Amino acid sequence: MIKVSNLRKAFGPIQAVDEVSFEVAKGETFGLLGPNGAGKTTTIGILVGAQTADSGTVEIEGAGDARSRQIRKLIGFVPQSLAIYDELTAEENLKFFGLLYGMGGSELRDRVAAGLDLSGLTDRAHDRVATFSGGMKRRLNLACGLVHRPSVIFLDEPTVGVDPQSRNHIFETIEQLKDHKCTIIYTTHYMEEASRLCDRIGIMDKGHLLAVDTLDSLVDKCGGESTVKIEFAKPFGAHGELVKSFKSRSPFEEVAQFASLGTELKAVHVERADLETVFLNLTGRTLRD
Amino acid sequence: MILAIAQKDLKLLWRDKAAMFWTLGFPILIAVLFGSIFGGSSAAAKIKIAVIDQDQSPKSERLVERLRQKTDALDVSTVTLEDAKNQVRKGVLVAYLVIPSGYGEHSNPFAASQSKLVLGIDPKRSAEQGYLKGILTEAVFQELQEMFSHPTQFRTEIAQQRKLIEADPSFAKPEKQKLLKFMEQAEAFVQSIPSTQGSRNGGLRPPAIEVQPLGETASSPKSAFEITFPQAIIWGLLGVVTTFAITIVKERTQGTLLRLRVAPITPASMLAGKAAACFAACAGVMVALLALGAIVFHVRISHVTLLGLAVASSAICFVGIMMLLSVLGRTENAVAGSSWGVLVFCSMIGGGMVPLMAMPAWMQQVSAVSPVKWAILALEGAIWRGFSFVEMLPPCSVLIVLGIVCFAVGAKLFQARKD
Ligand SMILES: Nc1ncnc2c1ncn2[C@@H]1O[C@H](COP(=O)(O)OP(=O)(O)OP(=O)(O)O)[C@@H](O)[C@H]1O
Ligand SMILES: [Mg+2]
Repeated sequence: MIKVSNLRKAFGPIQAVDEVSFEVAKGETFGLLGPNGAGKTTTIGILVGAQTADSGTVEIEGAGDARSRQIRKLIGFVPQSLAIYDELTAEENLKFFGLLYGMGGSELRDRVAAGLDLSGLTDRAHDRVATFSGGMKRRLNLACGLVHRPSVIFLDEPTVGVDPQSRNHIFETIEQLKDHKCTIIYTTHYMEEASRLCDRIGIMDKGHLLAVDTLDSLVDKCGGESTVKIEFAKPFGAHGELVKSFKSRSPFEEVAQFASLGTELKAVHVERADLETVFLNLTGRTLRD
Repeated sequence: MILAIAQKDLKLLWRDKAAMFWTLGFPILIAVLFGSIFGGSSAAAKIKIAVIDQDQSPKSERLVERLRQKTDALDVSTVTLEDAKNQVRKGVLVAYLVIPSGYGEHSNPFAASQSKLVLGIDPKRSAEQGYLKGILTEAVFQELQEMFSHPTQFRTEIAQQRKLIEADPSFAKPEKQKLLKFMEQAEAFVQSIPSTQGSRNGGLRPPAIEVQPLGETASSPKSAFEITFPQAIIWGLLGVVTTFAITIVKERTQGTLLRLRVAPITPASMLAGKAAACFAACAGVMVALLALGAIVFHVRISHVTLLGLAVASSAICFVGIMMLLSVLGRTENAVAGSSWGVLVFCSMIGGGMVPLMAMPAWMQQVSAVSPVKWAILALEGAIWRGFSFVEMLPPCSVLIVLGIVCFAVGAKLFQARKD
């Protein structure tokens, strides 16, 4: 369980995090969705104890914040920028970070092997990171944060710069972690990732957490109307239309109404609002401007 | 945990080929190159002495001339007795020889009283003393070569000196060999004199060599390598310090510091890991260079324990300096540049380039502000200056205190710095 209350953090004149509060239940995957500079990394940095907040409190597993050594042991952190040693091999990196968490012996060996497997680098295990491609480094960066079997995991844009195949591999890993009842906080500016992985999503912009809810509720509450397009078998209505497009808050009821009029419907397209629209409605901007 | 960090840092140093060059290759080059340019061991094979001829007789002049001719073994100068004493005390000369007036008369083998030569030398320098006695005896015997004599006394004298020299570990090899060869020749010469032809008057009595002990003389390096190896060690330390200072900023710039901060280790143990690795690297470089110097270039390691103390305190000092330098900049280039600048300056005024010995007096005083001076002093103290434990204390405590202060300040600044 993670409980964040009234977090604030400023860098000079920039209020990077402004009165952010949310809760994440045990075993839940929580997404922080927001554009560049929204304050996602800063928020995560405070949660994992890498930065100190100006004010506000964080409580992890009901046992205080990340200043406590006990809590730190539970936390797995995958930073947004690469944080691995270029001059060490993939295996040595994993081993070093395992050692930092007090692992050793056969447990460490198993976890290093699992980390290599997770990052798809088993056959490059003894090569130096400096010789890896960007995507390979990214995957190793992810594995290094998970090597000690953390139960509370912070992933800061782990898929940036990764090819679609590796990205899928990362998604599968995260889904496995969900199966293992890990609590996950995941930041991204891709709404597809948030939709696919996260149980609940917080939308962030300019340091503010604008809305927090499940994908469905967010769309219901902030997405606005769905787009409906009906194709008729025969010309319909006063103007003899073959196609009718309109927006509606309750698309299926309206479609049912048309059907009840006795006209033959050839096709019905209902497009629900998505996170993009949610974001647009909340901020007046699209996610990527 | 500390061990894991230390191990990782040593591995990084080992893999960094450029850093390895600056920490080992370059210093070895310096030591060997300058050691050879400034004479290496050939200059050391000569023993510098002053001869004071108070007799001024033809006989004494002939003896002085004989000593002068031994150019491969001796470097003979003539000064006043006062100057000679001073120079021996300062370590400029190894010894002085006084030929007292009356030597010419007394050295007649048939004279009633025995003639006398006075050798002024630090009694601690037993090896040089034996060597000089041997050379003097040889010179005197050459004078008496024509005369028949009883050689037993000479033989025992030679045997004694030979033992003395063979037993002395601080005696450099080339000198030892030269001397032993001379001993052999002398022995052969003595053997050629039939002992039955001893004079009825009690035989030849060579002049007695009276040793005038001069306590507390300054030691001097035996070879240029004994100067250049401590200097090379300094260069090696500068290489280690710069490399580690860079690895600390690098942790920051490559983001791994973030992981270290989030891991369940205290900042103190993280820095302790760094310090341990840096200490091991410093000590390793020093031991490697000293071993090379001792084995290949005959650098004397007279006090292993004191040398250990010098190595440990220098390492502590430079670990502290490393910590302080690592916070001088935010990027690797900034830290590399500023570290190198600061360190080369310290080295320049501290005797890492121009030997302390060769500095003018005012410069030697200025050099006290440089940690390099104290490190060189400690190392030289245990190599050729013949420091006692008490004499080692000042440089070593300066090094340790400076190291601790620098580390504390550096660590404080490091932790105060937020990204
Ligand atoms: N160390 C810092 N010093 C100064 N300003 C900073 C620092 N870190 C973050 N900021 C500022 O805080 C704001 C939030 O940054 P943050 O990195 O948290 O955004 P983000 O949501 O992670 O963005 P992105 O998607 O680009 O990673 C930005 O305006 C940024 O300029
Ligand atoms: Mg970010």
